[in-house]
Amino acid sequence: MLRFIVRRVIGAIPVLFGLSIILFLFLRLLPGDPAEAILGQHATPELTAQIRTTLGLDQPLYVQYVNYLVRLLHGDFGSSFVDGKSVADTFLVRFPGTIELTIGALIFAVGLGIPLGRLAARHPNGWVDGIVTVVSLFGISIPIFVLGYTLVFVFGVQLHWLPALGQSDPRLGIPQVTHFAVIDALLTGRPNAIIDSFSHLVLPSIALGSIPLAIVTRITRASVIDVANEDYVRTARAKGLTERRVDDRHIMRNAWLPVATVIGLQVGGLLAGAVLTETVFSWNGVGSWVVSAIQNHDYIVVQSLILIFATIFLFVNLIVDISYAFLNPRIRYS
Amino acid sequence: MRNGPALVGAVCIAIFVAAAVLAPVIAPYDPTVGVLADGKQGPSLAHLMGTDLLGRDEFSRVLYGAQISLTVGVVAVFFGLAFGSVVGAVAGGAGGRVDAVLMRVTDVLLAIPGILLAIGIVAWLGHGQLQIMLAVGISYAPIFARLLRGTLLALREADFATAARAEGATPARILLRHLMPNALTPLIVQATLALATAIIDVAGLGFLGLGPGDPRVAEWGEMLTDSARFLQSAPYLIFFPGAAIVLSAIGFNLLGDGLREAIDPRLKR
Amino acid sequence: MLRARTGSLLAAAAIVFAACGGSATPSPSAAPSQQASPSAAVASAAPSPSAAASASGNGGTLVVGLDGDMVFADPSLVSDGNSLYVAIQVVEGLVGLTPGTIGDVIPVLAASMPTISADGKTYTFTLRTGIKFHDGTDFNAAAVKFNYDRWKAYPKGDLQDNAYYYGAVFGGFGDASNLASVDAPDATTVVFNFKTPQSNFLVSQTLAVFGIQSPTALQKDKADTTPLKDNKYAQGQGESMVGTGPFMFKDWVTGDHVTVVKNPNYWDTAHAAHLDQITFQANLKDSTAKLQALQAGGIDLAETISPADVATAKSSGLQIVDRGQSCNTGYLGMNQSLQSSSGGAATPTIYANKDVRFAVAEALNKQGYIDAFYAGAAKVPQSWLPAGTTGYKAENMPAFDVNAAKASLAKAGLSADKLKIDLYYPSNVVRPYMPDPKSLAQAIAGDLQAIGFTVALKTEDWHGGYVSHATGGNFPLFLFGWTCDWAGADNFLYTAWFGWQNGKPNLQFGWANPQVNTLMTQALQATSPDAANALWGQVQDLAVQDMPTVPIVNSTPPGAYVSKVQGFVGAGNQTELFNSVTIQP
Repeated sequence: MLRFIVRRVIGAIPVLFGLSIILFLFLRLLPGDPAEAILGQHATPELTAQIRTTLGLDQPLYVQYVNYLVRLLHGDFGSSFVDGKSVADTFLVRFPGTIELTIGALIFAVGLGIPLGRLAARHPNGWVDGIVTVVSLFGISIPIFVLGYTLVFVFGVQLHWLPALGQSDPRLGIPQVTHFAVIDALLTGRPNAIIDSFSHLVLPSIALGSIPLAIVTRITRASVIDVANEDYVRTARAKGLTERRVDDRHIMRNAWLPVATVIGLQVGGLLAGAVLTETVFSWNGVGSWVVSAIQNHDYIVVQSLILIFATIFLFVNLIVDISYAFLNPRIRYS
Repeated sequence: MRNGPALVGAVCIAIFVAAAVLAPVIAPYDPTVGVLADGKQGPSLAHLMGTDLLGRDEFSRVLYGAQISLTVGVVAVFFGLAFGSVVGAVAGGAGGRVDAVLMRVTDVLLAIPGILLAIGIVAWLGHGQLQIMLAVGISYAPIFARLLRGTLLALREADFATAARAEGATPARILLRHLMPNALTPLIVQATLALATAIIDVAGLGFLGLGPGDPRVAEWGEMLTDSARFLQSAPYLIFFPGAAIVLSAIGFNLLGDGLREAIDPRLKR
Repeated sequence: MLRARTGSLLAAAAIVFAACGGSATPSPSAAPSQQASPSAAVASAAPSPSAAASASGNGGTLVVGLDGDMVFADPSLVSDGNSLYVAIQVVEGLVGLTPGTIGDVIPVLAASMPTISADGKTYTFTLRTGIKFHDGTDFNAAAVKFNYDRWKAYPKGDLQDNAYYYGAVFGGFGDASNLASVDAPDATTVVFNFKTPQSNFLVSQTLAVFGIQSPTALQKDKADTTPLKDNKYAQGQGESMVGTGPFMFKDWVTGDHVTVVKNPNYWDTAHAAHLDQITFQANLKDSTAKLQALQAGGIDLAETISPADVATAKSSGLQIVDRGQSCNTGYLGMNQSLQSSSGGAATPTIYANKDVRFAVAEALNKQGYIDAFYAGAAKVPQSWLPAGTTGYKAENMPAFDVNAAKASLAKAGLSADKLKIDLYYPSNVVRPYMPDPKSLAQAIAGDLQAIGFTVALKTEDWHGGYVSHATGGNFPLFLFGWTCDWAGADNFLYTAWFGWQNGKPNLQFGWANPQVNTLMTQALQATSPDAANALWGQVQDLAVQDMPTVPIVNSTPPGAYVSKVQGFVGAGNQTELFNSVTIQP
């Protein structure tokens, strides 16, 4: 197992390296110019050329790439062309927001999805199954931004139960220490701040988690149904085991595999959904940051961010693959 | 009765396909032309689903929209399924080194959130129908690959596979005859879900400003995106294209479920 | 089966029901009770804002929604609307604008308007006394000189690149600057010496970019550090944006918000701030999210809202900001000489034919666009500048007349294949003069097709090259516009559009009328405002004869705020001060 992990870690390095080259070239092929992002309507050819020189964009491509790589290996992730802020600093400010959102969405999706899936699988094509199916179908059929707007309209505008935007109410004056809204609120010890930070998390988590919820529900249901029809399950039932024991020991253990795969895959999808969710809820996260960086042709920011995402994603996949071995001892890794 | 839902799904899809095909005949107005002064009117006898901001008849646009939206969904998923299954089957069937390399490449693609990949592809190739379908399709391929490979990995160790190996079947034969039919189930579920989400994803790209082609041509996702800001002032502009998307998604899902039940060899027993 | 159908119908009905749920009740503030009132310290750790408004309407925190984040905390290095919106609360210049106007220049840090020498090359200001910067140091002539010298001395590199406005107004930095020197003969007198007269000097200095900042703070925090990523002052990490204004800079969380607090020692006690604190929520790009935030009470004021939301906002009990005079123009550009992007020779287009240009101008139903896309908050332009800018002259613009348009087009005698044209519009952007480029482009295409053209719509990302392609003359027919930097004819006619560059007409339109160039050069160096205005008027006369572009709209983008906010004065150039604002309980 250890060798497996080490091999994966080492194997990740060429992947990241290759990714960095592809990103670098790809970004510079895109039409447009960071200078335009800086100048806006004031852009003229002279000013644009001047800015390109300052930013080092008129140097040969390989020189630019090597400079970037050397700095990266020293731990310098670069800084934005537009506002000069270091990627690392801004990342530490904005990433916690996305983490909170992702965790909230996962809790919603998995916490509700697995039980729903199991429930539906107990009596396939029964009325419970029908309702669960319809709910999950809606989860994936409604675009996140429509769902987000509707949730805010109902719970924020009409009912005033939940807030419409952001991670916390600026009027509460909660100092941003860790940039995790919930943790910062906990640090102040004020109950209204803590409740405020949780209440800001509810609607975005539902909006972002709607698609994973539907997928987890349906995959769990399909997986449980599949396994429930296996011979060994029938045997267990015939042996007189209670339904509960059959469920836990035989069905779920084997049904986990596709479910775990999909959950692992959803992490990537969550980041994509975070992009839309962060825009709708004006959430200060990395999803909206990377989109605006792409639009502003903030090359260094995009490269560094996507490399960071890739690293995180490879790490998450490693965890998922390891969990296969625990869940199903017949899968061995040499 | 097991095929009841599938039948409903098929009928649903058939209705939309019929709408797409018959749109030139049924639609009361030209979907690309409108009178500005008649803009943003609610449903009425003259305009069954109301008019959009530019005064175009919404009902005609929903009918014509079926043509493009359905095509977009099918083609995008087809791209993804084609690329992804090949990669996933090879990886899961062969195992070992091949698996490791293919999965690392897949991981790299998955590491870039689909939406960013799509933004990148559109930024590079320009705005257009084909570019959007390609972008969305490519963003699905890694998911299919990984899912197929994961299922195959598990199935390889299952009893029937071991038995086949003991009988002396070649790896290719095991893959095609024994593993794939059993592995198809989660893949089909995912593909039917993907059919529905493909249309949604295209709408999401439109939300970020990457809509396909000519904005005058009706397409459900684009109509939904453009009208999302009218949630409070003209909700019917969201409701009708939204309902079309939701109903067609449900139709695809029901159909896919029915297919799964029909071809799953174990359920046949 | 049937369940699925019913279920989906029910759910869909639920959405419609929710959406049709009638107007929202006016939103009460969501803020729970507050803690003790804060000290006015600039860099202290966060105290919480004072109790929500007392009976007199003083105090409280205002949450303002902006479309995007500030770029730098040094106003001299910014040129975008969001940064300027915040900066103008904190720094002041020698002159400013009467609140609510776009062109009414008044003395601010100067005690009175300057005396100008007969040759127009010397401006002498007398400064007010008794003013202190936010860090407690004195404001005086030496401080003014320090600031102007500092900007002039910006070295090549990111400092010069970002100090766009200094370069644009004075023509360059160092020896290239038209501002030869600034002298401070005594503590209350400042003298500006120019190489050549500059008729736009005073109005340009109303920008927050030219706000005077404390030399002590600038030096202490090494505000000239380059590269800017290491510049703590510009990054808002030290004592930043230290000016003389009614509010003081407090903190800045990247991508999220900027906070300013009341300046208790503001020199103009009659116009001191009532609010304790303003939080500029800096990431409200999405217009629906903004509207709903207003309705739900998350923000108190949105700088701009989408015109599509104005009716809904009103029926929710929100107040709409009336911005009065417009300071922008949206137009349809017609390029007479298409520049090749690969650097080859330029090709003449059908728009070189004056009859074609007039046909296009007469085909456009501008009032229709205004009603459909601008919620009526715009006017049909009577010239290339908005009414109310200095140098504006009302002209006889061609009216919307389909028959006249068809006649003009027939006169042009174009063959059928020449009638197939491309119309370019930008995607992924909201501009004040063009809140919905995609819809506007479709409507214009419809109007052009009605007179005989066949229009193909093409788009490019605003940030993906649209601006440089438009200004570089790569588009034949395109939507564009200009938001004023200051309300002067020079900014529109010369800077934005018709100024000749490198001895050639502006590439956007290829309008080769040398008389225009001569007139504008004279106007820029005119020694009296009347002389300048007469010359600008002549330029507009030439434009209406030649119709190089079709101005479509002068818009006043709507904003909105909750009804407990009082005293807010909107302005067409979106330079708006919050010292007059109170929150009613």
